[in-house]
Amino acid sequence: MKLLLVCNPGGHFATMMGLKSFWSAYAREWVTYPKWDTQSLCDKEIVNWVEMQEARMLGKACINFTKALTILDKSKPDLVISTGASLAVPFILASKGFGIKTMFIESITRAHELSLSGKLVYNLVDEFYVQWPECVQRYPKAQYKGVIA
Amino acid sequence: MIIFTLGTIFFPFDRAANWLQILLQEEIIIEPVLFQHGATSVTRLNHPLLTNVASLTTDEMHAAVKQASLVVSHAGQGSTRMLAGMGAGFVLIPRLKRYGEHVDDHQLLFARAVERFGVHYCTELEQLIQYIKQPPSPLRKKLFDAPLLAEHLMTRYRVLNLQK
Repeated sequence: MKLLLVCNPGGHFATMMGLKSFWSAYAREWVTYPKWDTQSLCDKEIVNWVEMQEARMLGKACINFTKALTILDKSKPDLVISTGASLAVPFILASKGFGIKTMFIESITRAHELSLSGKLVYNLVDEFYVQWPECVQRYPKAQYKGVIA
Repeated sequence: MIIFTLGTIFFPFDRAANWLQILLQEEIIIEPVLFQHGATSVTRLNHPLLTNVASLTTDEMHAAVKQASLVVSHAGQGSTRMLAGMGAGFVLIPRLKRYGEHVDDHQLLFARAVERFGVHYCTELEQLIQYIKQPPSPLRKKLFDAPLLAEHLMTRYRVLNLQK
C-alpha cells in the first residue's frame, strides 16, 4: 500500500507527525508547502511542494487542484490521508476523480463543530475521523477511534 | 525566562503583542522574554528584556521551554500538545475571529474544551496579569488520556492488507 500524506504546516503537520507509527510502515509521499517546520522533511521524505494555501484562499485552491491531478497521476497512491486543513480540499476532490481511497482526520481543536475543510470533504471521503467522541452525534459519518497524542 | 509565542500562522495577533508591551512597560514582567511573534509585526515592540524572533525550530523551542518559568501561547493545538507533553507551566490566549486573528473561534472552543483537563486560558489582559503573578503549575497527567488513533489505523490497515 502506498500513501499520500497531505497537510498544512503548523498544528496540522504536527498531527500528521503524531501518526508516524502508522504511516512509517508504508511507502509514502508528502504534500505540503514550505514553512519552518515542514522544511525539515526535505532530508528524509519525498515531498511534493505545493502553493501556500491557507483558509478561504480559493485561487490557491484551484492552482493546487491542478497540481493535485499531476501529483496523483505520478505518485499513484492507494490511500490519501489528510489531517487538514485547506490543502485537504483540492487533494481529496482530485482523488475522487482517480477513484483513490481517501481519509480525513479532523483537528483536535474541533470539539463540537467541524472545520470548514472538514465540512467540505465530509461527504466525499471514505473515512472521516474526529478526535472528540461528542462530535459523532452531530456528524454520524464521523468515527471516533481515539486521539493523536 | 518567559516564552511568549503566537505560533507561526499568517494571521497577525496584535492584541497579544500589545498586551506583552504593556506587561513589560508596567513592569509586571521583570524577567527576560523570548517572543516568537510569527506573522505579527513587532516594529513598535522594544524593551531591554525582550528578544524577538519570527520563528524557532522545533528543537530551539523545546530547549527554550525547558528553561522557561512560564509559557504564554496562542491556543493552537500543536503548541498546546507540545507544552502539555513537556510538562511546562503554560497559559493559552485564544485567537479570536472578531479581531481578525483567525478564520473562526475554534481556538477559544479548543481552550474551553481542554480547560477540563487542567489547561489555563485567558481572554482578558487582567486575567493574564494574574497568571504572570502566579504561574499555573504544570499538568500532572497526559492532556488527552484516550485511545490512540494511530493504533486503530495500524490494526485496521494490517487487517485490510491481509484480506487482499
